[in-house]
Amino acid sequence: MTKVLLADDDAGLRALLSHVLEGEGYQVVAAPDGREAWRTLKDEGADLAVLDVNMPGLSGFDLAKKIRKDPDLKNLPILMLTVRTKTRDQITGYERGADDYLPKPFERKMLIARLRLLERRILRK
Amino acid sequence: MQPFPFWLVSPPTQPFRSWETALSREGWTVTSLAAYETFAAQAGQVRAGLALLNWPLLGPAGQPALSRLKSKAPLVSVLLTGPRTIPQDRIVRYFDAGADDFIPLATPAALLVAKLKAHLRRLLPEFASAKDRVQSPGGIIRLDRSKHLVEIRETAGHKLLKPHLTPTEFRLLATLLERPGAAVERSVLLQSLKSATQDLLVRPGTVDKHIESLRRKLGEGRVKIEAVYGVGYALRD
Repeated sequence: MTKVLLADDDAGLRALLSHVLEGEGYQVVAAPDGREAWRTLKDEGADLAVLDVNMPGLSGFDLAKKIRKDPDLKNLPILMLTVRTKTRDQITGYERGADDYLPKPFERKMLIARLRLLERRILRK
Repeated sequence: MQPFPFWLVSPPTQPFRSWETALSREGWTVTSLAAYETFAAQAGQVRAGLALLNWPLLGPAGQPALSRLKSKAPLVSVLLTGPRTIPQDRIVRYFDAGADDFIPLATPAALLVAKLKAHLRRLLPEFASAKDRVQSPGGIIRLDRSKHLVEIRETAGHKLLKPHLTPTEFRLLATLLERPGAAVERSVLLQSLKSATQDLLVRPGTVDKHIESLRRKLGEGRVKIEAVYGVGYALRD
């Protein structure tokens, strides 16, 4: 079962997305902010990371940069979710290490489709 | 080392002209094609690559065509392009058929480059090692040149055999796997023997001797090296 780390400071969205992802067969570990997400990754690991960008403390951008610098986590697939849809923000996301970037609001089927693409592309499933 | 292949499969209009300029500025060599069939033929000849493919060029039989391409060239990433107005359901169906991404036509060139770099971060290590790995069409035999390793999956993915091959046998098997199912001329196999042994005086009859030895080591399973009269040998699974 593919384990997904879901990091978003919006509790309602975190609960909804956890439910959606579990319904699609993913195991979900949820974190309310970037620092907690980092601790979870270091302690428990994950197969995929879904990160909100606008989180207090450690943003999704900075978390992605940290992940790419860590020898144990540097190949972790990252999908970023965000309301920040400006071109410059998306470029920053990719430059910090995101594999894909999904602007909010998004349709549930597109989130699942993009996660499956990531798995196919990266995990070759 | 050969350059990584990029294709832009689209009419020569905007935004594709701007995109091509942006990609060229990155130092990437882009082949621009206006027909899907030409691209599919070229993609079938390489191990890995990346293509931006304008949606309408797939035609009405788009999804099966894409599935066929991806089954022949799984390491060629195909990024479909089209208007943002395409229904999400349709985009998802093309993902299921094998498309690796969807890039709206309104994507600025700088963002396109950033997205492609994200794809390449994953694809280039595969490209570097892809030429080291070959497998039979049914996936029963896998050969890794860099590790001098052969694996044979005998029964529905369960039993895995790893026959010990001499360098000569390994080279012969690799040559046969480069054209799976097709007859490989005796002269080609002889040349691969000469390369493996660095012996320019290898006689043609030596090919048959090594093929027999290879057949014994591959066993009586689903993989067969068949003699093709007047030509040479073919590997079939």
